[in-house]
Amino acid sequence: MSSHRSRRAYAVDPRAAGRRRVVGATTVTAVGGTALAVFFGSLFAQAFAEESAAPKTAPAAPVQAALTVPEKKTDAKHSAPKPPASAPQPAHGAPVGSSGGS
Amino acid sequence: MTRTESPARTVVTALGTTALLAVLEPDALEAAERVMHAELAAIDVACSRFRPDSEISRLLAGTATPVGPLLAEAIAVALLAAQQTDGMVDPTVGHAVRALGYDRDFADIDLDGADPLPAPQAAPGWWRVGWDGHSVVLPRGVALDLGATAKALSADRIATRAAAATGTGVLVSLGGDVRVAGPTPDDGWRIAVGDDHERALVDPDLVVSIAAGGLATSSTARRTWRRAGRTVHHIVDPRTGDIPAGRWRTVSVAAATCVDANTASTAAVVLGDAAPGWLTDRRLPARLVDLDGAVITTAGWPERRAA
Repeated sequence: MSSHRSRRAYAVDPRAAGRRRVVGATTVTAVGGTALAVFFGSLFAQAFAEESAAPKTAPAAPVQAALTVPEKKTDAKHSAPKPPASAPQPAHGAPVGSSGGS
Repeated sequence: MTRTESPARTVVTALGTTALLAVLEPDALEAAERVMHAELAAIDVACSRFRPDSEISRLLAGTATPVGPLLAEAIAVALLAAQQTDGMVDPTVGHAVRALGYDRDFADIDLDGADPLPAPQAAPGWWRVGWDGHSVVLPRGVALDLGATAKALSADRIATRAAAATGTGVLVSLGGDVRVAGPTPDDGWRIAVGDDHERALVDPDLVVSIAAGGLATSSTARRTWRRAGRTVHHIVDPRTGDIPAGRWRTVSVAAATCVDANTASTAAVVLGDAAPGWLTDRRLPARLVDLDGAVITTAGWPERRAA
């Protein structure tokens, strides 16, 4: 038996091989898609079931969202440095303390 | 430390400046001093941006960080000051102040550096600070500087607590940020006013008396340094990140508290031409000295030279 005859005996028709690959890929895709659909379908169903069964309460806010950002603009009449009960008076004699740049 | 009688008085160095404490009754001085030292130590640990171990230095950007009660109060006061001044006094000037060269204790600053300053950048804005009273969120790129309010807050706390602890009248001056509390001398607390709180004690521009509340002075004549021939100082205009355009050399304001007084005096320096109207609208007695030495007063501030 020559090697040439052996190769011919095991030769594959390229078109037949191509058809098998297409069919194989299609089958895998179909099976995978079905599996994914079943998986996500069950997830949605589970989430829907839990949401329906759970009491309706507001979700807890994340920590940062709970921190308030102060109002940028305010009415100066309502929020301003407060004046003293009485204005400073002229004084004589040695000072006890001092106010100036530091 | 130095002490005097009548009223009993002590002066120490603290927070990079001088801390003066006076009490009406000399016997109360020691107890008042204990209050002052405890408060000064606490404010330094909480708010000093020059200490790597301070609470404010350890705040992490981008995450909610719980803070202690004193830093919480200091942040709340700083944000309120920003709100009250529409951002003229803004605690988010931290990077701007550093960029000007004030990045360490003033005593350690090179007072005449050759390197030019980088281009100034406006403060990010106090409203970007997340705050719920207990936790703070600093957005990335935001650094707090509580220098405009923390010292005044400390003066308020020391005076009110020392007066409560001793039952006597107390005056506290932290680098010229003054607060009085408790019983008052018959003629009020006499306070010297000037560009420089230390020089004013011996050579005042003016002496006034107050019976209650606070008196603070902001000045561009003290705490100055030079970079590439340009003179800069510690008061920053948050709108530009640079020193204010410069109408006023020194502004003194009397208010209900030292924080209120210092908030207003700092805002006035930043506001420039608009400052007299802003102070008048808020009935804040003030004395504004322009760069040429001309004086304007508002809301009943007495204009009279010291005798």
